[in-house]
Amino acid sequence: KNELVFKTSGENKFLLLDDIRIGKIYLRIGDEIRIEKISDSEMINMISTLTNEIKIDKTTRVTFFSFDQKYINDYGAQNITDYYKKF
Amino acid sequence: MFIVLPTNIFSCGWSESYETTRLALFRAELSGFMKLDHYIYSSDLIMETGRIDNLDQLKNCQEWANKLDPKIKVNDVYEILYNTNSEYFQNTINTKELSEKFKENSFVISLNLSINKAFLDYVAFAKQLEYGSNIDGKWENWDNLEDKNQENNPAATSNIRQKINDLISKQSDAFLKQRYAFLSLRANFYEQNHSEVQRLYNNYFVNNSKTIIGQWAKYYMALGLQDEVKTNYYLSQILMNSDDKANACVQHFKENLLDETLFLAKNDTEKGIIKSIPLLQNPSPTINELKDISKLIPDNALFAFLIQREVNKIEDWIFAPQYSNNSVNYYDLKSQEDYEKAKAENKIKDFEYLKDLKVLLINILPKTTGQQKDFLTTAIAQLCFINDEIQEGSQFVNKISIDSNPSIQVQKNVQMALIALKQDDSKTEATQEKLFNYFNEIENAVENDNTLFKSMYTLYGIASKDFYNKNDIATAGLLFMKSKNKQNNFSEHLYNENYNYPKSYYEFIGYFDRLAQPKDIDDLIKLAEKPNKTNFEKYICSGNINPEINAYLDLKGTLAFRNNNLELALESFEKITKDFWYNNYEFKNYLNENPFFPKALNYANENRKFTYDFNKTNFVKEMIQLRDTKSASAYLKLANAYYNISSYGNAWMMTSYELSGGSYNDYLYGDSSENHKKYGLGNYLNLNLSKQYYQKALKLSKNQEQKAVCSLMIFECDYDNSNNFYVDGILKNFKFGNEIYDFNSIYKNTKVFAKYNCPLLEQFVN
Repeated sequence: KNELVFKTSGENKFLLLDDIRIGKIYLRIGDEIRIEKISDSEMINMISTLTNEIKIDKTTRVTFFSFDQKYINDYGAQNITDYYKKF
Repeated sequence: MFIVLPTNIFSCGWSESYETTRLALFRAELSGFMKLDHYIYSSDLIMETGRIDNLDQLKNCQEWANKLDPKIKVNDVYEILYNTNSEYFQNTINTKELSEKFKENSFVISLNLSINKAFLDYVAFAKQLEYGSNIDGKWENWDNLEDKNQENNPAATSNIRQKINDLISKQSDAFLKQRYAFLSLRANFYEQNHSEVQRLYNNYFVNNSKTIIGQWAKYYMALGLQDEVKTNYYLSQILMNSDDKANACVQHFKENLLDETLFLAKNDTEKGIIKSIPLLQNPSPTINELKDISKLIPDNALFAFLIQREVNKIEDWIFAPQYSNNSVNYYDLKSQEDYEKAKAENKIKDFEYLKDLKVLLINILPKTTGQQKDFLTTAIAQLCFINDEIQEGSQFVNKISIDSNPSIQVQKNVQMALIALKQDDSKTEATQEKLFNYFNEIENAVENDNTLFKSMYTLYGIASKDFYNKNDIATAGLLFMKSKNKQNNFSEHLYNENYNYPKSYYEFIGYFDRLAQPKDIDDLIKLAEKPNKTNFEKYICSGNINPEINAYLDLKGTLAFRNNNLELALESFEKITKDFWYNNYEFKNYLNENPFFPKALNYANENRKFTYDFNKTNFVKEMIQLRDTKSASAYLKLANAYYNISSYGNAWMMTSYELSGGSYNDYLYGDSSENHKKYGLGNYLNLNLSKQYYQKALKLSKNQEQKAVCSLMIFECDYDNSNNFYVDGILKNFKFGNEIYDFNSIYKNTKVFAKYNCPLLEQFVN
């Protein structure tokens, strides 16, 4: 978010350039934050791999892990519905 | 965006939580701290000390005693109100056995007097309600089924509220009116009838809030208010008056309404407390806020608590890089550089911050009195010691008064131990006696406060390092083990686990295996066998010495062997009884093949036998003989032995106690990978000595078969060593000599070639 505080140090990785407090966590210079999120295209890729390799029929159950409010907000209910449709 | 800090990911296998490994010496406290236990600085979001804070309950009991009869013992009231099962109490009343079952209880005796009937009725009623709200305790009880149904019935609850209102109006005594009102108020709160809560509060508690029940009622009232600023304000008051509700007050307090809340504060004390609450969960440097608060409530226990947090933060930031073994996993050289640079920068910053905090506390000191003054003094002393300012620290320690509270006395012992370590010669018996006395005082105190285990774990860790730097490895190792014991004790209490298992074989020798030389083991054995140990020596040895002394002789021999000092190894092994290696550790499971036949060539053998009668003493003796014979055959046999005692061989346990697939960097002993590379003078990982002897044999030999084997094995050594040349999964820089070509040409007609040639080898020739 703040240009002065972070520096990109790799793919999805950020290096702290300054000490900051985020809620109840205190991050120091030198700490590294890694963003873990499966992108939309990766998700679609994964789904198509699965549907190619595994037989999907009416008795198959697909479960996304995990159904936290946070993740639902992040991907959006519409997107998640679309993922299900792809199976 | 999901934030995942790399350090929070636990890889496979056992690891320690950050709260377990956090280092902290400062543990002094004041009365009034216990209600804030959850906010002691911790790597976890909430600190759990397991301490039971029943001050509120005791206050309540005292109020009952004050009301009925000053002679009533508070503990008797406590027994009835809080330790007596409500069903049991009801039954004894119903069967009229109350006075008999509780005949020694001064509270019951008083309640049974006819003039106190109304009070007994109240207690019985309150107990009955308590039973009704506690579903768990009831299902086994088949008596009074009708009553049970009634109490669980939500409609019945409103009956109860009506019942209580009737009872209130019947009471003449204000004490009882208030108590019944509280029962109703609380029930209404949980049913979210906040207007009723407000009404009851206004009628019965507003003018009478000095009682503990008044505070509890205020708490429920405050949470039901529409005006969140007012709620905040009341919560800040209840925080200081009720231990029971303190944690809830902090959790419900809305930090974003801080300014508006301050506006309601009537005086400096209230302002100071309100400003303090957000700091209770703030993990970053807060000196600016502390400066503000010190102008408002310098003599208040809440402020002292914040100082305790601040000192613990500084200990965390400074001690961790200095004393802990946790090393960082670098992705590459660049990330290591980044890390080291950041580490250096942070170190400067943290020591500067320490000085700033120290200056602040010294300035505040004159404004404080009594216990508060002692507390701040010990905090200042602690800051001095962290900064290695021993003289100045001692001066402050000496200013602490004799009648300071027990926790400050314990802190003083910790600090005196640090002084002894840093200033005096810790190798002398006099200093060690001093150290023992300080340690002992702290041990005695830990019975009452489990968080002291962390102070001990940290103190012994520092002491261990200190002795290590002074080259007393034996003492350093024993203190290290003591430190780990205390760390386990802390973790046990924190996470409610039990680590009660006997020490494993390796636990006794692990530290020394990583860090000692043979002469250090001599010191250790001498200490272990010393008949009249000093108090200090007894203390550090207790629980940390393997009663089987052969284990240390074996360790010494192994360390010598690792240095390729075969004579010293033999000298140690010779002293060990013959069946020791059959009955201890894993020796018989890993030293059971012929060490003079190289493991690498097993692929051509049909039957691999694990029944070799391996004896370390005989093995080393033979190695020495072979070395001194200086013939081709002898060198060849010796080369095979050196091959097998490497990590690639069948007798690696001669050199190392474990064969680790990963790096030699573990949570317990830290990073010893540099040391590991030196095992066997390098031979353990890169087969240099083995290769040398094969080359010697090759040169001297006149026998084609022997030369064939030597050539093959030289290549084998190069090939195995190439394990060390993989970069990103690709083999680079694998250099090998002519030997494999010779094997395929000059020695093509040998029996050795016939037996051992294989497609893998041919790959390298073509």
